[in-house]
Amino acid sequence: MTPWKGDMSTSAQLDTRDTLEIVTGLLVGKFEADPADVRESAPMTALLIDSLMVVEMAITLQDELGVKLDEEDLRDLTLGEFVSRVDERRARA
Amino acid sequence: MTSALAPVVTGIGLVTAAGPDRDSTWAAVREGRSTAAPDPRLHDLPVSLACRVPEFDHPVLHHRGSSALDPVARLALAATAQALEQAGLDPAEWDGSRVAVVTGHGTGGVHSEATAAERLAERGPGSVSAYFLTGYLINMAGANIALRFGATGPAVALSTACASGTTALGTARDLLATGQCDIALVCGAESPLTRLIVTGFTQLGALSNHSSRPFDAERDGFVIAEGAGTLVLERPEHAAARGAQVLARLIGYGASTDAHHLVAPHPEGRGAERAVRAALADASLGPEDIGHINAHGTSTPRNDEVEGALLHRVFPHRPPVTSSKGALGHTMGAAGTIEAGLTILALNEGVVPPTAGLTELDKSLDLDVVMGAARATAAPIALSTSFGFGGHNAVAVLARG
Repeated sequence: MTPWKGDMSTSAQLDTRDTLEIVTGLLVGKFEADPADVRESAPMTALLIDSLMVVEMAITLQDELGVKLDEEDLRDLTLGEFVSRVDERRARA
Repeated sequence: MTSALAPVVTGIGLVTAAGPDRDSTWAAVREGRSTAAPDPRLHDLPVSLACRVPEFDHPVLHHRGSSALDPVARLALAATAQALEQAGLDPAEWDGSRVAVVTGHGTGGVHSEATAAERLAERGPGSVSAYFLTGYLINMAGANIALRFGATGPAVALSTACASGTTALGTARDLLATGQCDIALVCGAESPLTRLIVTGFTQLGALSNHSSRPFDAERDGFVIAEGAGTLVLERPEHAAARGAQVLARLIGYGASTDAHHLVAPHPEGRGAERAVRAALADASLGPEDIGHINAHGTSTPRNDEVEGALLHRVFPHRPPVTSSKGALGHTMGAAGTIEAGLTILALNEGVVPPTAGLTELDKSLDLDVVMGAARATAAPIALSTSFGFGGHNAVAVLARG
């Protein structure tokens, strides 16, 4: 068996795709959220169902996009708000 | 153990390099077909021969959090799901507080460890996955089984190195016999194919880069392997009450420790012999009652020499001997449950499988090792041995159901 998918998240170059596309892809692909639940109005805490997932999402976005996020960014925002915040950080990076 | 207390086996799940299910694994063993191959991920190491489980999928791995599972937990969950299906047990309906989980492992989630160590070194502490410890800790394969199937009785993960699977069977038997549970999910699981673990065994001179050839004159080490085996054990009255099909009974168990050397077996196999004799006594059987033996048979020069001599000593009637490691390699902590499962399949089909890789029996061994093709037998009782680094010895006696 190959090691788990998370091992593959280490990209050598930063992802240049649209932030919503990237985050949605992670929620469905890596974190196995039901695609029907992934709406911009959904709270991130409903999409990432435990603290492990929250921490892992922050680590993954640091890997993929080079942006540093706090757990609070993930705990208090909807998906749409979270994507906007990531976009702000990407613009600054 | 008195027959009234001897637990029954109602389900077997196997995931090995031969395939992700019981049938493909049994087919390889029954045909004496080796599954070892040079492993591309280990290609630049001194030893790269391994038995890696092919990529597979299973519905049990389609739940939130599954993508973070270490391979060892994936193997354990798939084997356990299979075993439960065969046993006809539906976790949605059982009283989970009466279900125990006993797992055996030589290593833990070493893929998770390798990844985390690499990231720590290259990117710093903030890059280490939140899932590092849930993948790495040795109890987590069992915890995942408990979580996934709602087993809320006692759960224990134990290690006696390469004897762990058989030790798990003995521990589960005691939980059942003392009334602490009605059902025990007993799983040996191992996913050791990281560069570091393979290197560790290479440095000990334990591995073959040629082939697994148990009891062969030219044997030169074991082939390291992935795999998992789960047996569903039940109190006999519990299985009878629900009308379950009984595949086998675990009628004897014995264990001992060499206290001789951390990795070398006692040269006369005294500790191993005590475990074999203890298992026979526990089953209230004499050596002549054993119809065939699924040997530990690692294919290392030393193990097979010492084990061969002790089997000759204890069993003068020369029952047929087989080693599953010729086909599947050495799955370490999983070997005990995988080989117990294969022994039950052999008892129920009335054959002793051949020892894959064996072409010329070591002339110093006075044993009837089955080679070439499976041999028919009507004998209803078999014995399975497991020995581990650390001097751990564990032996199970199984009777057809």
